[in-house]
Amino acid sequence: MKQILRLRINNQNYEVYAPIHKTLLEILREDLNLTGTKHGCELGECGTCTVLIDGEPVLSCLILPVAVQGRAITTIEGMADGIMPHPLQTAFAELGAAQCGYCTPGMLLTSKALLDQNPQPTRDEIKHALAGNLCRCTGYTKIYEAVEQASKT
Amino acid sequence: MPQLGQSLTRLDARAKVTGDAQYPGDINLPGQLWMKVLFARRPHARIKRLDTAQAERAPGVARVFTARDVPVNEFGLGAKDAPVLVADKVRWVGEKIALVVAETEAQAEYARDLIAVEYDDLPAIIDPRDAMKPGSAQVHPAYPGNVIKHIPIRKGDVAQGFAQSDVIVESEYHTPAQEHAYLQPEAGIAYTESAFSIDDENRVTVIVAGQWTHEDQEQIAHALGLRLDQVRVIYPAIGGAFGGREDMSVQIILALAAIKLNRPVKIIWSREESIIGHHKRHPMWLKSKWGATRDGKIIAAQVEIISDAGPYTTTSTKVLGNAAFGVVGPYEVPNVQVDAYTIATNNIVSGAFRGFGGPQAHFQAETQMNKLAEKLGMDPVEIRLKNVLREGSLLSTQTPLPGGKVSLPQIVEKCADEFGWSQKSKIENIVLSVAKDRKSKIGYGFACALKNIGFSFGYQENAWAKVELHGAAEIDQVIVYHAAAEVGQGTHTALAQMAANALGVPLEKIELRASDTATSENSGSVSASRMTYIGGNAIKGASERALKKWNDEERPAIAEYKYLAPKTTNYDPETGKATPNIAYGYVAQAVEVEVDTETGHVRVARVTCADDVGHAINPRLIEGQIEGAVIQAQGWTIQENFQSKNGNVLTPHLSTYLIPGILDVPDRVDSVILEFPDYNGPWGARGMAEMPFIPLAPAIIAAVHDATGVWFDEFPLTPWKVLEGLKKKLDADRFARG
Amino acid sequence: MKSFELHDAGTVQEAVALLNKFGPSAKIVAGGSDLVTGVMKDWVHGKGMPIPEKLIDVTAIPEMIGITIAANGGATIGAATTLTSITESKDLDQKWAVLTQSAASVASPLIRNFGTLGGNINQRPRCWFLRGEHFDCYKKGGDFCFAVTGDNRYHAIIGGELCYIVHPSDVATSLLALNASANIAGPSGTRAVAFDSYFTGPREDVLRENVLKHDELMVNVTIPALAPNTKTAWSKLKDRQVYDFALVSVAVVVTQENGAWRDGRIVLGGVAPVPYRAKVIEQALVGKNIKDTIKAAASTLKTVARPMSLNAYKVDLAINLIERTVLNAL
Repeated sequence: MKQILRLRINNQNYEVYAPIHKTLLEILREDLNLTGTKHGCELGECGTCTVLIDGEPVLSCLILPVAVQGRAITTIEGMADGIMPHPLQTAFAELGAAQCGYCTPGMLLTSKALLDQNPQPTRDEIKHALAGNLCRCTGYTKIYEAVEQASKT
Repeated sequence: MPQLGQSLTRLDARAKVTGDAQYPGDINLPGQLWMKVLFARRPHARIKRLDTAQAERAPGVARVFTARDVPVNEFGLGAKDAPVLVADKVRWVGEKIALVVAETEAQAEYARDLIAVEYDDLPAIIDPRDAMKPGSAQVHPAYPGNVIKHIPIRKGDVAQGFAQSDVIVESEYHTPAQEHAYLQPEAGIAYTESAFSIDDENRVTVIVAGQWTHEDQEQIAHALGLRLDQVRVIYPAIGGAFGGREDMSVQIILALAAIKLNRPVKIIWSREESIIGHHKRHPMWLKSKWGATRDGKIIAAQVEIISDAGPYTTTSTKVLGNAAFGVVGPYEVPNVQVDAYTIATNNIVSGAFRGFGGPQAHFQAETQMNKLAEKLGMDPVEIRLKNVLREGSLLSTQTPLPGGKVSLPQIVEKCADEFGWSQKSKIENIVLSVAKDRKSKIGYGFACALKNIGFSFGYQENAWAKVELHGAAEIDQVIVYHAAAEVGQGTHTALAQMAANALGVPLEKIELRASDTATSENSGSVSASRMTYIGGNAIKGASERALKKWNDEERPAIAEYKYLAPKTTNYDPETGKATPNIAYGYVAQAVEVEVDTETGHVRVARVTCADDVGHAINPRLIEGQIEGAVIQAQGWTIQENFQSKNGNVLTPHLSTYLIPGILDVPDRVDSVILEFPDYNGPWGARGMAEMPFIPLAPAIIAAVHDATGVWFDEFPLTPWKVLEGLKKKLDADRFARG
Repeated sequence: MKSFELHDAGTVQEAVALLNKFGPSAKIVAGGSDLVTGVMKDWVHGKGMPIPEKLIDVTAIPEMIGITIAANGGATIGAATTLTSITESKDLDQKWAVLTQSAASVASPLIRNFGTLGGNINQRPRCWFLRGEHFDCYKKGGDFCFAVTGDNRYHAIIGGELCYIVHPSDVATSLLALNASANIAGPSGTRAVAFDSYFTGPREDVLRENVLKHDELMVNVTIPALAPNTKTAWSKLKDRQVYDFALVSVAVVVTQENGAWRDGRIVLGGVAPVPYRAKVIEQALVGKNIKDTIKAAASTLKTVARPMSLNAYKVDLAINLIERTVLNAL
């Protein structure tokens, strides 16, 4: 069963003709070549595939795209303002918060959602907001430090 | 401006924060096909019948491959004892039976499920301690008695040592398997440049995530009966490795399909396929007896190691060598007897994982040391300072340590100082009332370790690099060629900083052309904490040679260099005598834990890690390695719980195999970076990425003992394990009181 | 993923009509973090647990979304309300903190932003044999429980029979403690079922965990107002602080009178095939000073617990956590 999906991603409109059972993650990566969104478990257990829907971080591997038609989808490709990196991107790069970098797009988007709602979070608030994004390289210290740095710029 | 000692931004940082970085699964080529693997998913069986006819007729299927399609059906890092695709006998759950290649991933998956296989299941051989007994069923014809390797070490006379000892500690330890759980599951794409013919000049290219391009190239060429120059391996961005990408996963099967079909072939493993399909850290059983004098001098250590290899060798013999070396810890012990065995079973294959036998061996050594300190009423730091290796000390292999300074005394003291070890007694063993009525106990633990840098025991360590200097009056551009894999650790940045430093140019002028067998010769593996040291020496040599040519007015000035490290020797088969390693890194850790005695929950509150890195090329990258290794080791010690039943994996997802999240990490991980140069390291640098993993488990175990009075000789310290231990102690105390 | 048809329902009546039309091959999806992944992507199926062919999405049905506080002081929460909406509701948190806290302990923020109340209550269990390919267990229509002879450290210590799963839902545990009820729509209208009788154990029907028939749909949940002098508390012990189900969880709702237990409920998650109301402990507390009695009362759990070969530790864990949670509530 295929159908036409109308998706608004990073302020751009897309029409995709795709099987109904493809997840948003698969549509982004396979049909739209937006490969900045990563697949880590495809079972909603790692946070690697996080995107924003109307500013809220969610797991794109669990989402059927029909359910988010017409809503604002933000992926890592839409995080910078043109060529100007988002302060979180700058802080993650400068502080070494990305090692292998595979969790980084999801970490950045979850952090963006946090700072958009709470521009000056405490360390505890940062940790709770990022609880669903797993990382195997950094031990997380540089990640929460980067969010703290970005919140001060 | 000097380029070393600066926390310069990683070369790949921009690509990684924008989503531009391309990992193997992100790469698509026109006309690509998709592959799915049929795994055996049973630990031990004979294939009675394999029928692919229905799958071949399924929609979109290009071809189904089975064992008979593989020209030389064998592979393996340590010994080529594993089949690429199984022809007759399945020996572990992750064994590959068939490959389906189709126009879409969904079609490949659908067709894979149409393959009919009938098996004769055989009893699985699970416990290596039983498998090595006479009369056990055989796992692999190459390993009679299921013993893949036995390593003995004999130094002095342990019987005499024990006779002279005032105190003796005997224990039996078990360390668990560990899953790498890198966030990027195995993936790759392979293609041929034109209609491929084996006899032609054609080439198959495999873009994949690995740790050693040239080893992948060699193994692919071997299995497919190709010349090396017919295989090109390229590494794009790699989503973590930790040793888990050292052996073959999708490399050979992708190349096989690409050359037979002459179309690009792509594969992405699911998380479950990744967890079932690649090796784990070796589970080990260690039986240990240590003796010391009243004043705390260790005089005898006798250890038996049994390591579960799974059915094939991969790196098991090398891990065993490292474990046998590590079981006396970073101490000079006059009388040593070690018998180390690695045993074939039908469990999941064991192989490389950060620390490579060191963590298992040191868990035993450091816990023995902490138990001796307790028995002698000595401070754990004090007893270490009496026994640590120093310059001129003789290892258990009866040779001294290379590289000049042996900084263990300094590392141990510095770690204790920075942690505040001597002040901790003031707040020791207070029952805290953190939440209402919550009974938490605080404890402190200490451990230290050494770890070899580079491949060892007779392997001639080497690495290649090439440097091109372009420009006229000034050097405008530097092109550096080498094959080191950037798996996330930051090696490309560190190597570029070293090139910039050697050449006296800013980092921006360096352009790396890395990780491609077509443009580089062999720079070796990113493992054994070796790339900064061995690869750095190659970069340094090539840079210096190119600079000399530049100064001689050559334009462009181009120089290659192959660094050959000092020689090492293998264990003597009777005594274990050897010059085992080129160089070492030294590390010490102190930890504070909080144990909830009612729920069994163990929380690590604070870790101080002192690490001698020789020369800190990029301090921030080093901190990143320390912080990451500490949390990975905390996971192994407390919450990661790899479980299988009869060889079948019970924890094949990230919801059942629990790697630490941000809410599990300590409040503080303090990195203390020390720089005692190694004579042979580039600018004195030592390798460091594995070292901070090694002492954490015994340090946590000691801290939990400090808090609760219970020694845990096995882990992970899940509530199940902790409550069981506390209950046993309670029962024993009651019994003792009558 | 297994292919399926997806049907959007605009109203409850439409959803029920679709369920009725398609029969047992259709399932409700309300967020999908369990159904889309656990069932459709995994290899979890058997003759008693067929892979659904049709999914009916109810997350766009207006009457199933949102939180309403009624004039009588109770609350109604739509079954398609996200867990994040519940955790962020000040109204709910002021009156029924045990619910907001239990919702906040589910999985991760990323799941809670999409996962729903109804989805969480009606998700399938997480036993590693049930979710393992090689184990054709009772719940999948097989004839064996692998937990009996296998590694059962995460399995039931109370009420296991045939099958020893534990109920995975945190909010179900707190809702039972709050004496909430579910409103269920079916072909013949709606019915209200108190959570007291909503969950069913393996003895009644090993193939399901609640009273929902295949053509029925949970529309919303109503929570009664708490009596005066009533307090609540929540605890959940897990191996990892995120994406983890309860080893043991405890929901406490207690009405006091001069430090004594007048009325209330103690409900345990992670210990039984259903959220388990520890009546034996409640009875031991009735009329008694809570602080003086709780230790002895909590340990009466031993009289109803029947641990398996490897999970006796969960009995101690539950007793300790009950004591702590009751004291935290005061």
